[in-house]
Amino acid sequence: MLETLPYSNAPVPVDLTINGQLHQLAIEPRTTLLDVLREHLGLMGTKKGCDHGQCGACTVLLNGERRVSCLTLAVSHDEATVTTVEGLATGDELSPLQQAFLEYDAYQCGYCTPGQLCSAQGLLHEGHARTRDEVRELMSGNLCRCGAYPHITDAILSVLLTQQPTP
Amino acid sequence: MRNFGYLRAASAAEAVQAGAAPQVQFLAGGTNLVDLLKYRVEQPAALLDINRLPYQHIEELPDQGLRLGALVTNAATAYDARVQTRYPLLSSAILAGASAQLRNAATNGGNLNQRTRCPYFYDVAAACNKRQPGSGCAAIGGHNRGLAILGTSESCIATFPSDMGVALRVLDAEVRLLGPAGERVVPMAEYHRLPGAEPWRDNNLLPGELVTAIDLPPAHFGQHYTYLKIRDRLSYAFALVSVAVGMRLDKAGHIQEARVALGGVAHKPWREPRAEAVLAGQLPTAEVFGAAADELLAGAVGQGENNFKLALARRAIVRACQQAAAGTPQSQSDKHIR
Amino acid sequence: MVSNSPVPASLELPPVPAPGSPRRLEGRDKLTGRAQYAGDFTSHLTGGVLDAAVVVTSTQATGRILTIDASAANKVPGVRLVLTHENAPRLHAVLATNGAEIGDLLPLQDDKLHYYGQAVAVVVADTLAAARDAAALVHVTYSAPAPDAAFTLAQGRSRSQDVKKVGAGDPGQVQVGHPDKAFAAAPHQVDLTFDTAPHHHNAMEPGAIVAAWEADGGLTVHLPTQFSYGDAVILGEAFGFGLKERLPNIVAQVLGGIEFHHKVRVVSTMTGGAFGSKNANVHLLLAPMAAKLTGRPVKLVLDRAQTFSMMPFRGEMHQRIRLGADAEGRLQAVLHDALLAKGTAGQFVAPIGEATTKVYATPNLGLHVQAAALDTNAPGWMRGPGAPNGQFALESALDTLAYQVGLDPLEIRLRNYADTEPDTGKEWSSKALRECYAQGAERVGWHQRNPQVGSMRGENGRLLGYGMATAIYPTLQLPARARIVLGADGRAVVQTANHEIGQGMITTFTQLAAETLGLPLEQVRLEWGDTRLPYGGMTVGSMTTLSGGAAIQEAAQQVLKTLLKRVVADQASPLYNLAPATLRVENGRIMGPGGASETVAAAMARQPESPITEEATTGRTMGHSRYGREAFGAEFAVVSVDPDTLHVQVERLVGAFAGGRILNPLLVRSQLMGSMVWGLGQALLEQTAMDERTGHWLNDSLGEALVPTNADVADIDIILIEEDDSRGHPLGVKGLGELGITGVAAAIANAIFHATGQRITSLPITLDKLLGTPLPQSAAPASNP
Ligand SMILES: Cc1cc2nc3c(=O)[nH]c(=O)nc-3n(C[C@H](O)[C@H](O)[C@H](O)COP(=O)(O)OP(=O)(O)OC[C@H]3O[C@@H](n4cnc5c(N)ncnc54)[C@H](O)[C@@H]3O)c2cc1C
Ligand code: SF4
Ligand code: FES
Ligand code: FES
Repeated sequence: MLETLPYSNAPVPVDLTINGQLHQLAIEPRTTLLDVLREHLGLMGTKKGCDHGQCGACTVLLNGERRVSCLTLAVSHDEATVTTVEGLATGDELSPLQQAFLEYDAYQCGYCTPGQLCSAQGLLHEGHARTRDEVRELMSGNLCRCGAYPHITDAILSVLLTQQPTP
Repeated sequence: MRNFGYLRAASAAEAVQAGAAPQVQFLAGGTNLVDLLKYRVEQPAALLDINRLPYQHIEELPDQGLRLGALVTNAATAYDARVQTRYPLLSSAILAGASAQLRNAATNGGNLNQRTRCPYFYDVAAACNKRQPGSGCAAIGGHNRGLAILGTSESCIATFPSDMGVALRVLDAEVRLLGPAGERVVPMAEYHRLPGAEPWRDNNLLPGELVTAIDLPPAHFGQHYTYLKIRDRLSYAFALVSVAVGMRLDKAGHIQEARVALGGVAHKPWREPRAEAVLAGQLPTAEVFGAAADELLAGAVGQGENNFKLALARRAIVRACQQAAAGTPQSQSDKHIR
Repeated sequence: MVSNSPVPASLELPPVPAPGSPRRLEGRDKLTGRAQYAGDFTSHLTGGVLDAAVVVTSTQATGRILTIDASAANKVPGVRLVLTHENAPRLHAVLATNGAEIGDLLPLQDDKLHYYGQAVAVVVADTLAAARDAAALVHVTYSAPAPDAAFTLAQGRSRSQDVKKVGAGDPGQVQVGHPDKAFAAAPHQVDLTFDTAPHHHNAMEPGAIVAAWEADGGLTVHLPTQFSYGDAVILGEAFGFGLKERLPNIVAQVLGGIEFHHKVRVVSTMTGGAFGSKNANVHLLLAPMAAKLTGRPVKLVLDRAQTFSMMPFRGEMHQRIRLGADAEGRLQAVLHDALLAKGTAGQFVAPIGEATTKVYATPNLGLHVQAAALDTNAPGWMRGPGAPNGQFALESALDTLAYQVGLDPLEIRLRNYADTEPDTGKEWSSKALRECYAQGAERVGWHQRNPQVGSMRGENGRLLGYGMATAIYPTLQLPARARIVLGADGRAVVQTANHEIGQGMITTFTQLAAETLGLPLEQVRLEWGDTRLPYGGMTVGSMTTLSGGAAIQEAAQQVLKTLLKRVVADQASPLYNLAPATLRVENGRIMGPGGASETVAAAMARQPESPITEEATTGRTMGHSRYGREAFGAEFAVVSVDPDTLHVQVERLVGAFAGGRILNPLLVRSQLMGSMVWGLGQALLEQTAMDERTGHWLNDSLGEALVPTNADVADIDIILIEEDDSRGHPLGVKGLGELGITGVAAAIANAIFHATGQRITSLPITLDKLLGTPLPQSAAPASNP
């Protein structure tokens, strides 16, 4: 079948700028962004909780938007910019969200946390969450089996309120 | 996931030509396709990446309608100001589905073509006529809590799981297709199929045919509409039953026009003209809505575990109609049913 | 619709929880992605090589493997091994103290199938992609399945047998007085049966392990576990190391001070959630087996679906509760019968009914536990094992009794308040449950509600309901050791092989050592989760602080004593010749009467060659006490139910808990909150569906086996009531990690009854169950509290 088509499953060149650093990769078409991060680049901060888009643990920012990296084929995003949990802080200085998670104890085992942080960063960027209910709904793509939800919501609200001037 | 070949389609013409070959599938957001590849439910020889084709915009149509590009994401569609003001039903339905991350990736064309969530379809060790024609249907007589009560066949009782599609059905959207033989337009009503004897065919797309856009005709459901989605979990779960309603009321409060479609209960968004005829010209009362619900659910049969859907659907229809009539649409963030 | 309006001014900055408490010490690592879980290991941590292993599981539950064809798999480039029962190393029998499956059934030893999803092969390759490819090519054929297989209690009821011991040794059969007779004679009787669905832990981190054999024949594994020493002994037994340590007497050996040092090392530094699921797992053995044959380090991570069959779960339970009461609602008889699902292998039966024997006063009490071994993988310990299911049944029945007698549900609990431990008559070490009832009721507005069933209405005619239940969980202590080394720099290193599973052990232990030593937190460092460290016990049963904390406190006290002795004997010290009893250490400074003082660092610096090292062993009595020791709480739920669709929403959960002394209110609050979220999930969502025809856990994914999302979780209000439990435990602390789940399902079910008049006796309470019966026609006036 394949012989008659102009396709090949050989590795494809893909350029990705991850946390500010350009990576020029050659990857099989089937490689997910999550596996690029973990298996190819050893960036283990992004977690695999389900590998099927059902938990949010693998959430990263792709060109600034939050995505589940486990259902994202990297080949399809040549030249994209990716931010993972490793790229949120500035040097030793935690981002406002990271700091709020620390203060509000918005985590327990920490396994969902990289995904929660990237998702929350995306949520702030999107600008559609203005109420507690909206934060809860728009963070529902990130499961936390430790049940830290009320603290996660509080932490995000605290950043939402301190970053955006109330009229 | 089996390895596969990959080609980035540079033009629509190239896409439809190459896409017509068997074992080639279009890749849009990948949120459904990649999942199915991982379970080895789908094992194409090659993926044709359509993400750089020029279907990335929402455009005005001359008749005041809107054209939603097939590659516009679900999120961009739901939050588009024109969609929010003119088609709030669509916006609401999209926001009822999946999660923010998934909606950022999922495209309008992909949403229409997403496959069923029947658990046996996903389980490659189980019999499933949709996945493996002729192997049987493990869902009949099995766990079918989430499956269909309307339009089922002896070979398949799967549902079409999309939320967006239910709203599109109410809005009488039209799906624009481009194929090897040229363009054609298929109304939503005729886009998806019932399982019948060929459950592996979800819809009427021909080989190589590409969804290029979804056209929304002008609609007047900015005030009286709702998308009510009932599910076990309050978010990030597929519907057990969902109801999309659009209505127009006259000054005296009579229903001028009402459209109702159901999700989560059939192989396609379910609409029934007889039910809408029951509503036309009536005052919005629970009795009238109940009568319409009975028409809409005529012929519904439970499959055992999902018997409750008959009662649930009836109640949800009445409630959704009340929400629409009262102009208090369901919020997708405050989960209380109004 | 999501509005685009700016943040409303009414939205207030959420108060920071427990402002004075130290924050998690490993917090920065978890927040920056640096925290390393076993699945995050890369080859540079294992000497440049780390192969990937993928498990192949059976698609049939019973019968035999006829053939396994690995030829295609072996041809995949990069594949090093396809491990099957045909080539797997033979293992020696192991003893699993927790009743885990591997105590009866070792993986890959023969061709027999025991359950669907059983490991039948492990593929090892250079890359994960190659291992996955090859795993999909392993072709297995099976003989015909057994015609009489049973996968559910309904199918396997005839296999029921009485159980002598449940859980970790609690009695499965209890009789106090004459419960049958007393029940028959009671003027008020309630007789209800309850069914609760199986559900899985689904910790966000799946099972994972890295195994490496050393040149000297030793074995090192890294994995998330709740019992590193236990796993090390199991590995030692299985691989035939000449072991001095055997699990059954490991505790005696630890207590006897025998150093534990054999060639197996288990390291467990970060665990991405455990909840009872992580120890003595099947993959503990699979990865070392594979690594033994390849001679290279191996990393094995289960995929989500595999965690359903290769890790434990809370099994299906069927219960019957009979309550007999006098005219005033005083319990005359409590009869609790339970039938629990067991696995095809494994001895675990959840400690069901343990709470029933402790929670209310009654002269006549009967507990009768049976189990049926089904053809599934083995159920196991899961957060609050037994208790939330038992309490769901008992507290629902008690609620029913309250309405029958005409008492307020809170009043009937007060009337049956157990002033002494019901089954033993012992005094309680402490019990502030009355306070919990009072404060919880006050906070939730219990007395302002309309007690009449079906009477309350919220917005849009929603039915409102209030429910409550008692939370109860035993306070246990296990043996543990700790070593503290106070160095020449005045800094202390605390060592104990306990485990961080999200409960905050690192912070609590460091804090406890710092407080006891009088050092600032920054001068104390904890080493944990490694069998090279002193035995730290099991991280189970909410016992971390009780067990490990006690050892740390004792070791710290000894260090302090030695330090003070040293300074008063040291002529160079300003504290020379003072009586040790007159000295205090605070914030790193030793202070004597009359202002004499020096820093700990200064004192230690004068003898750089001799750090102070002390070890302590505690928990010798296994927590046995002459007092009854339980942690109690009162949990309240407010639900609203849509009258048409019967869609249930939990509006609010309030929990008031009496947990002895609270070391770190922030972490305790988080633990209780998390376990209340678990209760909500158990009440409304969680069930793993068994396909009765095949034995397959059908919804083996996070998308189908639903756990709560952020949107599901109501406002949770937690009240902590401090108790003086110093006569119960040297630190005066109680176990709080599981208490929170125990009453929630019952409180929610009781609230649904109050709202709708429907007594739902099976979990989870999904709306199909509510749709079965009509709603109350009560025309009571709407009230909107
Ligand atoms: C965990 C999870 C939860 C979800 N929950 C919901 C939910 O609650 N409600 C809901 O509605 N949906 C839900 N979804 C489904 C989601 O909406 C779909 O996966 C998504 O809309 C598919 O869009 P896509 O662009 O990612 O499609 P892809 O995955 O790229 O494609 C899907 C299919 O459509 C075909 N296709 C794509 N674009 C075109 C085109 N232009 N022309 C022709 N064929 C095309 C592909 O070949 C493929 O067969 C959920 C998904 C996940 C993973
Ligand atoms: S219902 Fe349809 S999709 Fe499900 S098993 Fe049957 S044939 Fe397959
Ligand atoms: S790992 Fe991607 S969503 Fe779970
Ligand atoms: S912190 Fe453990 S899963 Fe969220």
